[in-house]
Amino acid sequence: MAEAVATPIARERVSAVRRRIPWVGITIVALLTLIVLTGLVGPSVNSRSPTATNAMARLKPPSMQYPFGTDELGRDIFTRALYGLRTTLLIAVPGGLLGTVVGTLLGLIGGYRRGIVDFLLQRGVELVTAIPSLVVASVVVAVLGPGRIQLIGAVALSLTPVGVRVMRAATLRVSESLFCEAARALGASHWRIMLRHVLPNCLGPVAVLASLNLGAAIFVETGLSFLGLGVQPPNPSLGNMLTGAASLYFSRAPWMVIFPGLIVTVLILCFNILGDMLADYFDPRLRSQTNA
Amino acid sequence: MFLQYLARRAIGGFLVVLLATFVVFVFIRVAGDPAALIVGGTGENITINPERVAQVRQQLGLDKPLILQFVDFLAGLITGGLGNSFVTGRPIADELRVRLPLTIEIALLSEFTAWIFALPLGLFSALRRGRFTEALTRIFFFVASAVPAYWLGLLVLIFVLLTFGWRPPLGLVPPTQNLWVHLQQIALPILVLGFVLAAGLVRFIRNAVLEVLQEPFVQVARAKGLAESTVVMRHVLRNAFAPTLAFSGLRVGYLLGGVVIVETTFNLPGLGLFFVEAVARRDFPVIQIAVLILGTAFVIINLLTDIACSLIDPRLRERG
Repeated sequence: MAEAVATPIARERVSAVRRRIPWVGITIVALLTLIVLTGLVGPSVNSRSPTATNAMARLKPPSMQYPFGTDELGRDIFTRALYGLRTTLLIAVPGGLLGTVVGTLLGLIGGYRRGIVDFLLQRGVELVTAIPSLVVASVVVAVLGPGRIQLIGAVALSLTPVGVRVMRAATLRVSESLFCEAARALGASHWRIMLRHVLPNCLGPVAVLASLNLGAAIFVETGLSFLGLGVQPPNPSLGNMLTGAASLYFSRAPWMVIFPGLIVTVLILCFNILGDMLADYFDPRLRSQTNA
Repeated sequence: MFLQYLARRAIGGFLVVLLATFVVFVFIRVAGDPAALIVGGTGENITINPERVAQVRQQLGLDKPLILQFVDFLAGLITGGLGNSFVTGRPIADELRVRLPLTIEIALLSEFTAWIFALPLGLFSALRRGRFTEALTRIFFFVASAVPAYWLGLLVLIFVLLTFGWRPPLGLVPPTQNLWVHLQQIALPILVLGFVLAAGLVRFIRNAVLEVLQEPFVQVARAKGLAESTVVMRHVLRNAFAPTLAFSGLRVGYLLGGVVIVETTFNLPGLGLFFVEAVARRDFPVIQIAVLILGTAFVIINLLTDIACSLIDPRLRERG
């Protein structure tokens, strides 16, 4: 179906100034590192419990003691957000990376071998693309249950088709090159050509893909948890903190909704901007392929 | 020749959807035992009475061979009997009759809203090209594509409630009963989803228009003295429109996923909420039908955008 689209390419003038020092990129990477470190280290540094209730401190607005306020059971939202961030990252990052690796390898094989393998892969991609990614992930969870491993698998599966599509296009381009022909003439095996010659020349698209997929993985994980299908309460996840009580109390305690969602948004924003900058760096044409 | 191409696409598309349904169908039955789930619930330590499981399995026809079950399922689709929900026991067809129109309404209006947001913004930033408009579309693109629809929905609800003291009336009213109340109920979800969908669209429209502006025929149109507005309306927009339409066709999955989310956020009883509840309760017949409907919608909409594109741009009809 993708053939029907004549992809427009913006021939944007890149000013010399923007190329010199990528301040935006540095800021984004620093911010991402900060958030990820907070998510991984925070829960063990913070002595509060994410599930401890306190009847004396229900629905308290943000203060020095409770930076993000408290919820309807008097639980500290800051602590819950820390644990939620860790849960989200521990599912979305492996899921996003797994989806990228599987998609990349399948796209590489499909684009390189063509023929029946490619045909079957393309139909498989169409099969998964025809159904919204959140729905694909939901079906996996419905059957296998909402455990961490299952969620990682669900996230990975929903992201695989994008990887296959992007990588296949890149492989088709690269495997036509003379150096691939030369390697073949020297008697290199198919696997050697694919892994040592084609793949390294597709690293640009793969880097872009990985970054955008991490953003998408966070979107799918938090979305699933928001729908009540992912991480199950009382364990906090950035997504499930916005359902249940939060949707009942949001008028009296908006902070219950604002902070967890803000973290999700900033995370996705960072990964998207990073992906975009990588795309600009490697090849501006990639952008229009991946942001669909 | 173009008709042949369309027919091939249609058949291929429906085969893919059928295959997707089959995969889900088999996956459900192989990876878990629906009958055991119904008897024992989702808990892990519950002891399950094997006789009761066998009884339920027989009731639901799960004891037949897989292929036969699938044939039964397809036969049901053709005759309109979609089976009953495992959980409530009510016919799925009855539920769909109420829920599908709402979902279609939300999807269409949201897509429409997205175009309302995106077309002026994308066109403006392409025509007045420069640092400012580029920054504007960039910021809009990044913000709108990073904000999760469910969070934005809640934020908008909070904002509207705290500033105007207004919240959408509870309990969905069908448009035939009271159109005004109905519009109040669906306005926010549509705005939220439309905004989120506009993200990619703005950028695509901007790039498409920039691309067309470089075509020689635009220069010719200008050279023969046409007013700039005529050049834009008759030549640029028309040529940028077809790829944009195809682009939004390919993003239908995104739209439908968004519908599932806003229906849950705003508690609108459409197909999306039906699906989410079905997954939470492992109501497999409902899940199967929902997947089938969503996949079919994707295929049909892409066929329609294909036809529409070829009507707008005759060059596309040449391709076989």
